[in-house]
Amino acid sequence: MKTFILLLAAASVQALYADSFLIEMEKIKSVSILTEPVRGKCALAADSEGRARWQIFSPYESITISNERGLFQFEKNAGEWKTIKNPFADKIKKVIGDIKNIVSGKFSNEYEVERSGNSATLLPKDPAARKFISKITVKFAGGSDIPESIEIEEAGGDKTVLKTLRAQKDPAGLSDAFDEKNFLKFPPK
Amino acid sequence: MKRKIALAAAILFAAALSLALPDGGYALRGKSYMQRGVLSAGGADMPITVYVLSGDSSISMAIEGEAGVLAKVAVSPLDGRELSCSGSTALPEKIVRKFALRDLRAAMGLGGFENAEAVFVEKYGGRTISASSDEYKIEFSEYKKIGETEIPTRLKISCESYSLSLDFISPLNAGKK
Repeated sequence: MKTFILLLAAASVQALYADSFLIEMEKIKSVSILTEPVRGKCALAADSEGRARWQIFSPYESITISNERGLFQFEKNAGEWKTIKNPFADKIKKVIGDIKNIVSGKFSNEYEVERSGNSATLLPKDPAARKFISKITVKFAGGSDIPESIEIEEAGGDKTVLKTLRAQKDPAGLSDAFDEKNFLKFPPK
Repeated sequence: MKRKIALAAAILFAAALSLALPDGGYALRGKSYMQRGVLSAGGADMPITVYVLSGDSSISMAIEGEAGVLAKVAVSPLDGRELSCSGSTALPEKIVRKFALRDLRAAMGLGGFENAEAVFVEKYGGRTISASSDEYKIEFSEYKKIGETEIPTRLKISCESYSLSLDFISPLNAGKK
């Protein structure tokens, strides 16, 4: 579900930042049992064809690629990259459909979008989706169409905040980001 | 005969070493840390992140998957008694109690084998390498010095319904909020 949401967030960003992009972010995970949040680095890439790549660089490494051939996940475990057989691939593919719709100018009607000043709040309309995610808040820096932060609040009260560190429009070699056969060919610098 | 005596002495020495360690040979006991790995069940893989926070009165664990935080459990550091247990839409409490609580107790050497007829514990240098019964096995490997002590940086669980391979990622701050 989090992957769905991140892909949806990519779609939201895409709608406002129409061309291909790469955004490097700080990921801040807050879990109620922890005394302080866990911080790491990640990146989100997407193009106008609806392809997307979600990569976590730290504190662990994982890559999710969504392209015209399907959904591919890779996880570094025991020092080696492992292909993940994801049981939720079909659901994620549906979200990719949403992304394509948004890219073509249609916002998904599965979310209620509330805009206030420099932020937009996405509320899942589907009660089943609300059991996982209570809301997503996208904040923008004044005058910018690049999100400053994306906050994902889980139904259980824990949350993930993604803060933009660097954003690139139409970065060189972006098509490599979506090649599942050479998934390590695209390390954003 | 000499070989048997040497073997018996080695076993006694290992047992003594284990008793001498405050964690009873379970090096993760008393530690707060983060692990990442893959849970494999029924031909599907699920990447998960595990957070463990050890305190004087409880050992808390949260399991995070792609659907967010899936489960939270807490046990007593004295005897592994359940202090709290909660699941999520993706992972019901009943399943969390059956599997996640067992895994946490087994990792800390605080039980987890309640229904087993026999439990085999393999130790080396006082450190637990594995604990197993007919249906369940937990393995601790790649011991490395993290902070003041050596801990297993790889943990593997295999049982009738799933296998789990976890890598140590980093220690966590166990200080007060």
